[in-house]
Formats: sequence, C-alpha cells, structure tokens
Amino acid sequence: MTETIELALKALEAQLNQPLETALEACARCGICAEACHYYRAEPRVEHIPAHRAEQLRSVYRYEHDFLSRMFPVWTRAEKLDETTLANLTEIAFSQCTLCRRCTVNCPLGVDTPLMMRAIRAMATAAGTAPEILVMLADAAIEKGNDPSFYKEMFLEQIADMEKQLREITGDENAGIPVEKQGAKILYVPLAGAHTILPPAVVFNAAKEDWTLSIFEASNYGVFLADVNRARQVAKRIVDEANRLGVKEIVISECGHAYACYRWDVPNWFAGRFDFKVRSLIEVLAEYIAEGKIKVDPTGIPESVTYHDSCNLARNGGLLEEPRYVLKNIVGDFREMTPNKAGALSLRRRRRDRCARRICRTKNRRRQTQGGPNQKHRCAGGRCCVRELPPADRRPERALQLERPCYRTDGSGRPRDAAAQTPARGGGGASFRRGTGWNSKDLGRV
Amino acid sequence: MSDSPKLTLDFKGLLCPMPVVKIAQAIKQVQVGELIEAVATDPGVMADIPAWTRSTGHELVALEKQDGKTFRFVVKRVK
Repeated sequence: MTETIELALKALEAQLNQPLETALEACARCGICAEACHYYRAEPRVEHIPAHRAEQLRSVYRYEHDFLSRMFPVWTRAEKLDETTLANLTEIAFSQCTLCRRCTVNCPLGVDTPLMMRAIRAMATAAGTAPEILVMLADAAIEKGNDPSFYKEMFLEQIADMEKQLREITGDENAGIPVEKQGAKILYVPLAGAHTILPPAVVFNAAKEDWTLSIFEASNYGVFLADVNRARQVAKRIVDEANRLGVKEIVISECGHAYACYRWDVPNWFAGRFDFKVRSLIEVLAEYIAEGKIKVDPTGIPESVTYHDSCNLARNGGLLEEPRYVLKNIVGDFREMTPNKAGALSLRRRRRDRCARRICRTKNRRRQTQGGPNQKHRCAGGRCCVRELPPADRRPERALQLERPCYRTDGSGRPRDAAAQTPARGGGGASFRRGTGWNSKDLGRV
Repeated sequence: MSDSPKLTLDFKGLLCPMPVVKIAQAIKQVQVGELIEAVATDPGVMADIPAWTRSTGHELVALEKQDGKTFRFVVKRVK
C-alpha cells in the first residue's frame, strides 16, 4: 500500500461516525435520487446517479470493514482502494457533485450522499489529490489569519476610501464603516472586495445599527476541501475576533457556504457555546424592514423579478421566507419560479464540461419561461449560475438581468436598492417571524 | 534572471479569489527567478496577494495602488 492510499484510508477512518456509517449502509438502490440530481437531469447517465456515486465509496468501505468483502470482493462488489480508484473518487467528489443535498431531501431513507462526497473530499485532501487551487486558497486564508498586520494598514486605507463613497451615497457626513469597534452589537463579515462592504454599510448606517466590520473575509476554502483542520483554522480568525470585540452576533454576507459554515459547522468544530449568534445578512435586512428600521420603496424596482434559491441558504439553511420578504418589499412584480433550486458552485471549476453546460441551459430555460426579466440570486455561489448564462452580446434575445438583493448597481457602483432605503420615521412594524423549518411545500419548491 | 517582468497580466474586473487563482496558474509559466507583473481592480488583492506569496514561498516584489482604482503587483517565482 502506497503512502497516498494509506493517508486516504486513514482520512476515511477519521471521518467515520454514526451519520456517515448510516449513509454508507442504508441505501435501498431505489434510484429516486437520480431525478433529483442536476447532473443526471442534464445528462442521464448512470455515473450521474447520486446512489452510483456513493456506491464508489461504499465499495471501498466494504472492502475495509467487511470480512466477506475482503475475502471475496467479487461477491459483494467490494474494491480495494488504489491510485486509480482514488483518482476516480476525487473526480466524482470535486467535479460531479455540488453538495447541494437535493438527493438527500428527496431520498425516502434520507441517505446523506453529500456527506459521503465530503468524506471523499477529505480523503483526497489528506492524500494530496485535491484540486491544488483550493488547497492554495485555504492556506493563503490561514496565512492572513496568522498575521493580519501585513495587510491591515492597506485594508484600513481602503475602508477610508469606501467611507468617502458611503458619505456621497447617503449624503450623511456622519456615516462610517467602523472597524474593530469594541463592544459593537454586530460583527459584519464580508467577502473580499467593496461589493460586499459598501451596500451593507449603507443599510447598517440607515438602520443606525451598532456594527463593526471584520478585517477578515467570510469565505472558507477549507470547507470545500472538507478539511476540518484547515476549515477550523480559517474560521478561528473570525471566532477569535468576535470574542475579542465582545459582539452579540456575527452577520455573514451573501455567501451561502460561509453562512452554512459559521451557522452549522463552527459550533461543532469548536465544541463550545458561543456568546454570539450567527445570522445571514438577508435575515438582518428582513428584520430591519419588518421592524421599520429602514424604509424601502416598494416600487423601487418596477420590472418583473424572480428569485433563485441557493442551496446553502434555502435547502441547507432554511432561509426561504426572508429573501422573498425582502424582495416583495422592494420590487413591484415578484414571481415565483418552479422548480426553484440552485447548486452550481462546483460548476465553476468545470465551465467547459458538457454536462455543466447542459445544467445551466436547463436552468436558463426555466428562468426564461417562468421568471420575469430580472432574476435575484442570494448567494455568492449564484454568481456562478449568473456567469453560466449566455452573454448578452452573443444572444441578446435571451439575456437576463441577474442581480442580488440590495447589491443592485446602476453601473456607477451605487447600490440603488440600498440607497433607496432611508431611516424609518419612528415606530416599528411587527417583528419578522422566522421560518419554522421544512414542510412538504418547501420540499417541493426547492 | 531579469528585472523586467516575463509576463504582464491584466486582472481588471476579476473579483476575489480569481486574481489569486490566475497568478497561481501564471507562476507555473515562468522560470524560477523570473517576474510576473499584474494589474487588478479588486481591492482584495492588497491582502490576498501578500498572503498567497507568504503561504507559497514566492516573493512579492511590489504591491501598490496606482490611480485610486487599480492595484499593481509584481511577484517573483522563488521555487
């Protein structure tokens, strides 16, 4: 056994817990998951059935954990892990599954195929066969956390420039973007770049919120690698910052993966209770509107608009009502799209893949026939869906306008939606009620 | 080894993490000791590129804000 295979099997053993073992044992091979998978719907091949993908790991697991399978692998279709099998598993987990969990939601047994894909990703990362770019990005993020001093001065200069823009947009000389403000209520964690800092800053200032900006970005590439060690190191930067500043909550920007990471995974990784809660920016926006902290123009966007749910916020995070509540308050003609599902982030890596193109074509057709001319994406992953669409210059008749709520710009960088929001004139509406979780209607929709 | 960049790249309009991804791909196209110069518009490069050079061991020769909107950086391949 080579060192690579040894490391991969060691990672598999480390991953094994009750949920993973259940997923590895429980499949009834009914095939219902096939129709739930974007890949199978786009290209109906047996390799694109989630149960088939999972079976590739199951065969390795059987060989390692079942005496009969080890003695007579042909009888049980068990397979000894070797370099070829590991390369095949890596390709499946990183390039043929987006971990959108649509198969799990539609599985009668609730088999968590993405959990198995995560296990494979962890095996590949440990063995050194994971995509080099992801490893590099995760390591660079960890480096930023180890010593923020090497870029902090430049970061603060950029924030000072953004503050000038903020004051121009709001017309408020007192508007600001506080950084590392001790005792603030909210620690807002953006993605890198002004597009996720300036628009929320407009909203926070309009709502007179007691907030502060994180010096780190929300993205966590360790999650994509399923490498808990790296992911924990990346997340620790923000957890430590929140503890140091004594904030009451962390608000994560648009990124669905970052939200899922900090909302669901981080408490497990650190095995402790935190003095702060984690929310997505969309929850905060909905709350501000419901409580009257910001006043929005319901006719601010007169065009027809539809909304494309993101897998991590909607299916995995349960945030179904909040984005729709915000949209219904800022657009004149909001239309639901059925079915309404996302899960394209991993397509980013496979832009030239034929199947990925077909998935995007299917999604685009649905938007064309059911949605309005505008489409809203909630997550950064939605950016990938946006980029997959035909460019306007090539197929102008099919071009759509794709935007994310409150990040709409008019070409000058000015956030039109957010700029339309002004402080409420006193009084507050009813507090916004969170969704109550999954029900049959939700399952059908996403 | 030369002081002039072997490659000059334009990352204008690319958002994080694409400048880092592109420079990581480009670094393989030059020999050890050669330079790559790039221009980007995403302010995130001011933090991401130094972090990337630190984690990969390459040398950040220059990183500067040019005209308020673009950022120029020069990276030397070390290994």
